[in-house]
Amino acid sequence: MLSNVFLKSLRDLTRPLIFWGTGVLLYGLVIVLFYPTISEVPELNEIFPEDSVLSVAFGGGDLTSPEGFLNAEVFSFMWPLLFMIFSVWIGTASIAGEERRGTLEILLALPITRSSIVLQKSGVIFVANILLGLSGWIGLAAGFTIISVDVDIFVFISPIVMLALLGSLLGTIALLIGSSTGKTGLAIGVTATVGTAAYLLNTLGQLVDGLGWIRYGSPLYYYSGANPLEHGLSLGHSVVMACTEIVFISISMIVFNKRDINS
Amino acid sequence: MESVIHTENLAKLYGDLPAVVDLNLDVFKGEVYGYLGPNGAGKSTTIRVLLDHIRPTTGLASIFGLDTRTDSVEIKSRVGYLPGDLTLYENMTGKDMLTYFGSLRGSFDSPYVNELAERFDCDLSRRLSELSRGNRQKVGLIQAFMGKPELLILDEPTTGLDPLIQQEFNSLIQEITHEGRTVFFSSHILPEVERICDRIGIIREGRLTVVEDMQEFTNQSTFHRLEIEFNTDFTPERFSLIPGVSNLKTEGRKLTCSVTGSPDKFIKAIAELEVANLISQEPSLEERFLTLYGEKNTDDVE
Repeated sequence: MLSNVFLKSLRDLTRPLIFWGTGVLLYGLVIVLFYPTISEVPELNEIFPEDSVLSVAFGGGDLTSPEGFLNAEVFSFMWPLLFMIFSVWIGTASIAGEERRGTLEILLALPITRSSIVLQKSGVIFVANILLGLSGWIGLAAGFTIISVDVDIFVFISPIVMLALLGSLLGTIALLIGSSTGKTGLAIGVTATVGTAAYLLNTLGQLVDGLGWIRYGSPLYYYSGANPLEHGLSLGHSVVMACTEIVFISISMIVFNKRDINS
Repeated sequence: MESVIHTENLAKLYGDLPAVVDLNLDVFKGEVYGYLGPNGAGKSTTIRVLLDHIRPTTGLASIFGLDTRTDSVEIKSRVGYLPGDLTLYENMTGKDMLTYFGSLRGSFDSPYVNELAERFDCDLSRRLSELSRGNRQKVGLIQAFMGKPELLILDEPTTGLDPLIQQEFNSLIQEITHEGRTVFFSSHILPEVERICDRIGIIREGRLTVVEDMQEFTNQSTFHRLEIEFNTDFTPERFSLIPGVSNLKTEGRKLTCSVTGSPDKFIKAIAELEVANLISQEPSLEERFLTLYGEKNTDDVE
């Protein structure tokens, strides 16, 4: 685990990943355990019709079906929030964090290019999101097994992959700001603003007539706009997110290569 | 002589503030070069430019004839570095961190690392967060030495080390130069420089003011602080005109002064009077430094 920057950085995340992954898993599991209770209250759909503000804010759909229930309770808000917070933290800590602590000074004195450090740290963001997604999937699968509801547990994979892409996207934004400036506070601040703006753009775009186009500026639209839980993986949306990440990583490499390292 | 480190009109400005100005530096193969100056003089800035951590505003820098910017990775594979403000991976043990650095260097010589740890009396099995400043410095030194690099760049290497370990450090530096390897280190601790350096460069306010062979510097800056008691009255003016005599003070029949360079003329002058007692004090390198370069900005010089 100490043969390169990627593995060493992943090793540093072992404990946070266990805690965060357990949180994601337990959240999914406990929510699913509530499903039988909710599914027996069809009146909920009358209280929260699909086009109501609350329904839109929490993913919309039929709350009594497993998919609608999961979209509302898991995939629309809580998990994206958990994935994004964790990714922003990793993205910030990866380069700006090392720079602030002072370890970058000694790491960069070793025969390794700055671009390679950016690439390996980006890989960590992506793998951490996959692992977080895996624990979430285990939580959902275990939950539905316990309540004996006949659901294809593999359909959760598509939204979880999109979730991992969403987390990675926010993580790479934090990496970009952090590696370009060396400032952890700025990286967290900017990325948190992006996350909040993404949520607002996506929700307002659905609620306000004529503003649908603003959703295209939100990463959350590409994550959930095509309803991956019910319609499977959206190739177009995942490509948009993946390409954006590649662009951010490339800019990170260019800027990080050019700038002075803070002492 | 073959230059290992070479800079040409190197300058680094932070905004309008110059950190290093017109630096022309040559460090030759096999020598120990002491880069001397008060804190904030530009020592660390020079080193960080050499390692490509920061980029020069103007000028050129090369190591082993390779450009420090474009060939930085190749250079770093042949250089061992100890930062002045050392921060290690505190969540790792010394052994783990050195293994990690060894992997990134492409080689890890475990027996040599153990030998270094033994010489520095350093416990590598403990987490770095549990170590004292001095012990962390030892781990920092081991990571710089462990790859047996052709060039060692050490920024204030003996900070926090106890005298016995400093001695071990000095021996190691000697062994390294016997093997034809080069050491470039910065310091503001003058006696340390005096003990191990072949040449020194003195940087003040970003400018390299003096480059001197250590022996020549010692000779040039040699002066005596003398205290003479006469048996007869005397007029101090008869001594004040002698070249090299300064800080002349009299107290009754006692005369104190400093004599720079050869004391021959001064001795002949005092011989004309009856001398009751004579005390000569050898100045420290620090005093010589102050005499040669004035007292401005030397508060940090230990």
